[in-house]
Amino acid sequence: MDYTRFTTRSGESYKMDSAVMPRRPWRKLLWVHQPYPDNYVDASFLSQLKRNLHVQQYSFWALSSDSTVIISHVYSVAIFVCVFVAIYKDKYNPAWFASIGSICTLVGYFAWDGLGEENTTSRTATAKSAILIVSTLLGLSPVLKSLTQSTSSDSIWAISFWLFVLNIFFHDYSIGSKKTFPPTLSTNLAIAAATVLASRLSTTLSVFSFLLFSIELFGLFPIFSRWLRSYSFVAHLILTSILAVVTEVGMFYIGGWWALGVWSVAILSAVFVAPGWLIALQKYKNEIQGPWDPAKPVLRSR
Amino acid sequence: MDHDIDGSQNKLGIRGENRRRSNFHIHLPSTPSITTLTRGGTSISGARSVPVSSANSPTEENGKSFYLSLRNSQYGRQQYIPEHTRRDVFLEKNIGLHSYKVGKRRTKVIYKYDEIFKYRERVRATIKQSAAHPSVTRVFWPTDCVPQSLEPSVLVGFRNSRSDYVVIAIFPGINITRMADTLRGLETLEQPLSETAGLKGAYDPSKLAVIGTVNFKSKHGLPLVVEMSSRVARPRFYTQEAPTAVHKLNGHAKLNGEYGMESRAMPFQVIFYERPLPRRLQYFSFMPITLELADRSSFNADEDRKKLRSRRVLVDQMTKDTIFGFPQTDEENCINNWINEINLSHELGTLLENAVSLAAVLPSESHSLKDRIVIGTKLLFSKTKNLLSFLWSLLAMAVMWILIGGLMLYRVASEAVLMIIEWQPKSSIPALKDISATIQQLDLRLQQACYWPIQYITLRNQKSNLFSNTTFHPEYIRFYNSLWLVANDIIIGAAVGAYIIDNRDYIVSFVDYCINEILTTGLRRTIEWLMDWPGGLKLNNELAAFFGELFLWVIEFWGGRYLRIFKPYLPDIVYLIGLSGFVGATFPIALIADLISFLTIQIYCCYLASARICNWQLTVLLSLFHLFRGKRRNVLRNRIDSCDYDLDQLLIGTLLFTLLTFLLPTVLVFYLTFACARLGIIIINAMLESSLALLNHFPLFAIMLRLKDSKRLPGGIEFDLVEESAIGEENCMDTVYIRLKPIALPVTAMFQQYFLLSKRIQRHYLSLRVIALLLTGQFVPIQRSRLYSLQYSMLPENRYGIWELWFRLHVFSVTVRAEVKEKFALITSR
Repeated sequence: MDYTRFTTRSGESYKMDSAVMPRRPWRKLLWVHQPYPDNYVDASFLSQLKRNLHVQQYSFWALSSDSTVIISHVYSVAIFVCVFVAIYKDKYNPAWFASIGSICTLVGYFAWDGLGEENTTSRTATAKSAILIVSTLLGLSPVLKSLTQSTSSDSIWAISFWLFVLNIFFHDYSIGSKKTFPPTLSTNLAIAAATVLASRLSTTLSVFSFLLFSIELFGLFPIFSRWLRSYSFVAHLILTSILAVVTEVGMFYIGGWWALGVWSVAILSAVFVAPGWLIALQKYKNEIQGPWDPAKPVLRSR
Repeated sequence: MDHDIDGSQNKLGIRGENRRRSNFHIHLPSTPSITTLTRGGTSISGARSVPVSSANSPTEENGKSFYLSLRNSQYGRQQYIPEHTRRDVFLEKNIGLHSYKVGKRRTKVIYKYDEIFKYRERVRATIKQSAAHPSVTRVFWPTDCVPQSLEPSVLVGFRNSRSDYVVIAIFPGINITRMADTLRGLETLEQPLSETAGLKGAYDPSKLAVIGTVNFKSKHGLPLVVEMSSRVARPRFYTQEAPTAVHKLNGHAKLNGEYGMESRAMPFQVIFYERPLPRRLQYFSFMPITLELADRSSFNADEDRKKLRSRRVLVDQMTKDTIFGFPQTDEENCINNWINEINLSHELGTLLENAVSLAAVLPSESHSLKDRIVIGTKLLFSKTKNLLSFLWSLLAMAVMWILIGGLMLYRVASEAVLMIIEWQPKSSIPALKDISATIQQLDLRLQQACYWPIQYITLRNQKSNLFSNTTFHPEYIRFYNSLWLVANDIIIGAAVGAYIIDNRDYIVSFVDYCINEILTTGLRRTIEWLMDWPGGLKLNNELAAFFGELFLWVIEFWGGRYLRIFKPYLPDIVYLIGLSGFVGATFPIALIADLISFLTIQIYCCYLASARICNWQLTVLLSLFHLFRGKRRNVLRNRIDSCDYDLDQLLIGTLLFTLLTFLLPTVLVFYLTFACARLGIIIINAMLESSLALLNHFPLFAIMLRLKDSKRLPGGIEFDLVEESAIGEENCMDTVYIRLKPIALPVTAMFQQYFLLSKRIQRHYLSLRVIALLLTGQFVPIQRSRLYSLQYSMLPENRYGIWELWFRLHVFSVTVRAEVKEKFALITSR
């Protein structure tokens, strides 16, 4: 069949042609030769448009309880900062914090060991690596003490601040149970921040205690808390509230009423205001799906 | 390849530049001149049509088809490029066989088949056409041997083909048959001329013949009939019949009718050349003269040589097919043949002239022609005739025996010294000559002295044969260049030595000052500064103190304890350096370089230690950084993999990472200080050593030759269009006059080695790689052997052994004795 030639530039010639000869309706088939220009758009084109296909509706309480996972990590960072300030200002004996931390760790370890699943590492191996770390810390403490003597405090604060911010962003907040260790980067960032801060302390004992505490807090505690929230979410909520109380107390001792107020407001808004805000923003959501999207392969479950 | 079309010059110059085979300059004649030549060539023959405007015509000259136009144009189809160059350059640049460097080592070749096919078709067509119709008769005409008077003369020369003649001499006042008899006679001697020692294999005796006449009135059967109106006039070429015998009635029509179809009626191309004088060591050469030894000529670093070689092998392999494999004909390689014949022309011409004149002088009744020629040549070859020269050669022989004994003694002694110098207990331990500049210089001088006798014998053997043999000229230049350089060195050295000895006190006090102020106090002050937060850099106090004390101890240990022992001997050492000047200026320079290396050993030690520490720390930091990110380097696959570390690994690794990061600036500052100091010392030594290279290797003799007589240093040949003849006279052939001139070796080619050296220094010491190595604290190697290969480029790679020398000296003495005996026999026979 000899088709009329179409000009793609002007609609005029096209209309004239259509007036001359009746044509088949346009079909969405590339392999068929059709009497339409290449850039022809049919009226039926947008009929398959779909909106907000995959949007989920959130419930307020679910969001708010999930946010406690983040909050608990922020609490541990806050506790850490409080402990540093306490030691740095020589208010408290640093050995106290190390011993409290160690006791908590032991308790946590036994709880994890007794209640938990099958152990991947034997107890002797754990004890060995614990001894290794402690002795390394003992050896390195004098070196670390003098590491940043010539650097000014301001740069140290800035470095550790950014390291903690990155640590909070890269932390693993997943709820499902995974047996792997927490992601290495966030742990490393926290330990680096702790090392940098520890180098500001004045005595070898305080450096050692502080680093031991920080290793317990950032190396071991995330493993425990993740295991706990996969074990029972209620237990996680209880742990979070214990942390909250400890942090509030710490804030009060470090910064007084003023710090306590600001901190409480920030936490409360994170737990209660932020989920409400997110739900309120849902109505602006506008996702468009249509036949022009790349096809998604449908995978059958095995 | 450069090919420029220059309308103003009308030159067809071919010049091989350097030894690099790929650098050939082709100066093409301007387009109009070629087209006119072609037109001139076709008009006389009339009936034959040369496809002036065919696809191959020179008018559509461009870079891609210039070879074809050369083949097809007036200049015949001779290839003006040696074969290997033609293949390499032409295939790579013009046909689409491109070789690329891929990665570090590999070379890749890409064909473009359509271009190859086009090329093949054109070449075949051209060969077929030009084999059927040679378009021109080419005559090489010596301008310097035209006889004084214009009496009838005979042309003697090489008859290479039906259309290719090289005239080597013009003999006036002799008839053709007698000249031909003489030539034949020379070949029928007991030892024919072409079989004598110097001429053996130099030319093809069957080609040497009487090939034409000048101003002959009578008719003869020779191919060239030449008329010259005056001595300076251009020779005019005629058809077989003398001009007087031509019918004057019908003019052009008749002429065309009679000769137009004949192949003999081709236009002439006369190429003037001035015969190079072999006694003055002048010669023509297509390839530029190489001033280095052949096995040393690719002074390029080993990797360069390898790269070039691999490329050549690859191109050869890729072109071993039917597409490129068309056969090479004799005509295509004839340019080397011409040059060889031109180089022989003067000496051969003189020989013939002597033979002819002697044969004429001797009484003809007592001897046959053959006998006369025999006597003539004998007289010719015996150059010395009297008693005095006999006595002189007797004396020379006696001196020679003494000299040979001395030389052998010297050679044995120097061999012993060389063996000590070059002894390497293990391949990892450097030999003495690689450590010290002085010993290296000594090694060079000894090796040179070992090579001189052999060079001299080679030269002398050549000299007694024939001067036209051009292979020994570079050897001659090399020999006298090295002799002259040594003489120069000693003259300059005497002056320098005297200066040093005269100003000994001042120099001693200066060196003392350097040792005290710069090497001891200055260094100590620098390190103390580094220990105390240099330039506001906040270094780690404890580590800086540790490093500072360590390096201070090293400096005190060397400067305070050992240099103090050394100091009292300083005046003697300076005196010694001054004295060594009388052996050559190179020795004080080398000694100073060694002295600097000796006095700064402590800096070298500090540099080594700090570099090791810095490099170690950077390596550890890098792997700890991978750990910090939860990655790990996979050595097997040479990539970074992610990795699940254990908790204790992570904790300790991160602690160490933080620690080392904060300690890095301290280590880096100390390292960089010593690296800079080391770099300064290297630069000073490099300057001293490049002055050594200048004194040892400067092409003094070559430059002198270039100024005095540039024909002794040929760098290629050049064709120059002189004139196109007008067609005036009947029977006179159309002729194009071209001049063949030698191109002198360009000055840049003489200094080629220095360019290469500077390029290499640049690549080894001023590259980004070196900066990266320096910054990461890795060892920057100084490849002395590479840098010094320039110094040895005039010497053979393996020196001649003692027995070899003895053997050559023996053979030499035997020949000298034989000469003396011969002279004695000559005297007694008289």
